[in-house]
Amino acid sequence: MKQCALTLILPIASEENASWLEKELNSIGQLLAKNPKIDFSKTSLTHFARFVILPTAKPYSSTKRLLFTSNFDGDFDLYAKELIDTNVAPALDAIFSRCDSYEAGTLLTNTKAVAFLNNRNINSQAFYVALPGATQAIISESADLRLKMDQTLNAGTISDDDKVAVALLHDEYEKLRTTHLSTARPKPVKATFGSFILGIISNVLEWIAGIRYGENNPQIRVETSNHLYDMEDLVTQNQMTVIVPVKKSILHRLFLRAILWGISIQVKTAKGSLSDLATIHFARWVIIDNGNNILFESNFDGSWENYIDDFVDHASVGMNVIWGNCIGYPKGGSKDIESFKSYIRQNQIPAQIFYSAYKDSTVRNILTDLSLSQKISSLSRPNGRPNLIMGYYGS
Amino acid sequence: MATQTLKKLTPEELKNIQGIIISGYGHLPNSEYQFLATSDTSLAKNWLAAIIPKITTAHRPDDENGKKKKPGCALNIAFTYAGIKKFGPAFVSGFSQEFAEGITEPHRTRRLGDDGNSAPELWDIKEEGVHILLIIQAPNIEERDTFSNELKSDYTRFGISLVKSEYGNQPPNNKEHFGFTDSISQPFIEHSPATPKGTQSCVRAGEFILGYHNEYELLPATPTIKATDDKNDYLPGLSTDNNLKDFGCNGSYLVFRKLYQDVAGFNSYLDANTKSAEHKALVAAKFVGRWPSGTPLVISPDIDIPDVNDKNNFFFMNNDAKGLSCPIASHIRRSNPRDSLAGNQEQSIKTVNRHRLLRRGIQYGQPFPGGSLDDGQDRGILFLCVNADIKRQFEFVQQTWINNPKFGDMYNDRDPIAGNNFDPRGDNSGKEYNMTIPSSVREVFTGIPRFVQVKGGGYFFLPAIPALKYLTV
Repeated sequence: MKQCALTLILPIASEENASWLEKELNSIGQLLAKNPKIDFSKTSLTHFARFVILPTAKPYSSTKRLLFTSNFDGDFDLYAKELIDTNVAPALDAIFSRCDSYEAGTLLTNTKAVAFLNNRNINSQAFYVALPGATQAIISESADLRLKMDQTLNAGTISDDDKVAVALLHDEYEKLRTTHLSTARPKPVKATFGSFILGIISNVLEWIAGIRYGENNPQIRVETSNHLYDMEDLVTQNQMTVIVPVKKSILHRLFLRAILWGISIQVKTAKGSLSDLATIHFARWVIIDNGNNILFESNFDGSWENYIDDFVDHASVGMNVIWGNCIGYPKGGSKDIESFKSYIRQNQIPAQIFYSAYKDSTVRNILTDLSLSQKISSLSRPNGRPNLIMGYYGS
Repeated sequence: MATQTLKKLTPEELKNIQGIIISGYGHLPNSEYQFLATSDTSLAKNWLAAIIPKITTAHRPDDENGKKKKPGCALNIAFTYAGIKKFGPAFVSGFSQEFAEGITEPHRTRRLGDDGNSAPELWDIKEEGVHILLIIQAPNIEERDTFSNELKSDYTRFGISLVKSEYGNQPPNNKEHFGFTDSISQPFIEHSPATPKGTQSCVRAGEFILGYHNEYELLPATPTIKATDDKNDYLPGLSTDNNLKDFGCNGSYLVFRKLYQDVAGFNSYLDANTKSAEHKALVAAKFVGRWPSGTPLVISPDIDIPDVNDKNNFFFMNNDAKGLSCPIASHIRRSNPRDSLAGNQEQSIKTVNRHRLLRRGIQYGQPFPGGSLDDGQDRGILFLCVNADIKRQFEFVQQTWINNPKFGDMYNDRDPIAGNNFDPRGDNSGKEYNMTIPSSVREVFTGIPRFVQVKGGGYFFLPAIPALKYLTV
């Protein structure tokens, strides 16, 4: 099944509704694990979802807006049906009913729900999926299998005959863990004429995006608001929602679309990592508000600091050619680190609710689980011979 | 990238830099850490003015033989955020958010893993009520106490009170309480006059001293004041704006953590989970990543070879990519991953150099008598480190490497020595962590208890000598 993105931005009906929503979503968000009113864990298609109340953005909206995004398997038909079947739809309906241009009850009827999602979804210019084809169900089954295997290996009651077999199996496991395609160490890149040209092209692209290098201003230091820290580092993954205005000139607007188009092509071929960053599960860029603003959302492993540091180390040109087209981006680009981090923090909006279907798994964990379960499946059916796996798991 | 001349550490600047930034004073193994509070600002300024000549700088005069003379005793001074504000300067750009908020701000506490029995509510030493940290280092206890009493005799007169004192003593063999040789790996500051012991990475001065370019070739964020406010012209101008003076230049941030070591717990866990004395010694070494002598497992995976000359001359990926010698979860591999971060070796080294800590800590408490019964005595490490960017250096290492159960593609392994593992005496989450030792049939140690408990901490700023003079005005 394909992994898809849903992006909804709904204007909230009034100031009172906005305050009600903020309180309601905050209280659900903090208790999501213990008393979830919106229980995505009953569903099997949703990987990550979030609710973010966006500040007022004249002239696109006279009130605050509600952003709802989801990363899920299948398509809108399946998604709408599942929300109804698992009884998650009513809670969503109650929330959306506080918004303009949503008729109460829409999500409760299959046909209306599908029409709503199709009409109101905002398409992404680029959508990155770390592990295409890995549905939430597959991810969770592989994790279970790996846990079972761990428990068996830890149990310690291994006979001497089995020890040999287990050692072999373990070798396979370790080989998979350390020689999977994305863990293979690339050979050090020698400076070639090709990389020289690539360097020049990068510089030109960065120059077009408005990057100009110079001495950094050592007075700038990053300040992060508690609203952002409140929702960070609670589970293994973190969320980031950033909305920034795009520069007004036609050049920048076209250049931004061209770059995002290039990225959308490139991400189709990168399995497990985005420009060497293997910590991002899903990410998307969405141009909104008639091309005046751009929304970036991402679901990533580890701390925000580590995430941004990784971008600076591995994808600084990429950052520059996208964000350089946006108003307020530091002139020195992502290499002017304090300014770069400051820019992101100032434009980052905290999510009131952040749902993760696999709170304990990093992208790298999932990759290992998937490789392991593939290998075990192939080992457990070697041309019909009786085998170790069957004896071990009794199946 | 525009070429620019990077600001280098020069001999002239050493007179302005507090000595503890350049040297750990290994020849002065007895120290006292005085946590002070000031009551009256003008008295405090007078006291500070009298103390400044006694502060040890990084400058070492030549002795009769033309060699650099080591100080007989060392004195250094650092301030909390509240402390600096007490002296009243008006800053244009201020200090880092983490320094201003302090080490016990609730989100920070969560990120640092100070939970359960390491929670700040239980600490002996906190930033509240503390303005100044005075660090005395001496060759023996008598000289330390003489110096200390001499300093203390002035406090009442200047309205200064001693909130708490901690004492450190480094044993001659440099072995910490779990029995392992400490402080082998220490980054070498580029152009520093100090001599590195063995192979050390050379790191740009701006990682540890404000006013110099760091590993990103950027000048670190620094507190500034208006040039017109510096009437005595003590401070250097800010390189990017001559209307401002650089208060932070030649200064740095200092992290202090009092870490209690549960040696009885360490011994009893290993006794309960290993099969023989040899196995126990091997597993303990696997937890640390080095043998008690300091020889790294990468160089000698099976037995301790104490007479290896350079115990820091190794990388991980050439011989030990899978962690079969030095487990990926082990303490030294997590606190300094060298060339082993995902990606490639060269990039890993570059990245790791941006997260180095200059350790200036010392042991405290009497050595553990042995066995696995707790004797109820307080012992451990007074952990101090110097870094120009607390968030990118100390906090990053703590959160992303030491305490991260997902470090190195693992599932559930925190640092077995220093990580905030399960605390049987009060961890609310109850979650248990492992230590995985890869081998042909891997060993997983489950339910690792917490062997290190945080009992105190604070973020401090070490001003340069000119900045100290400015504070007295």
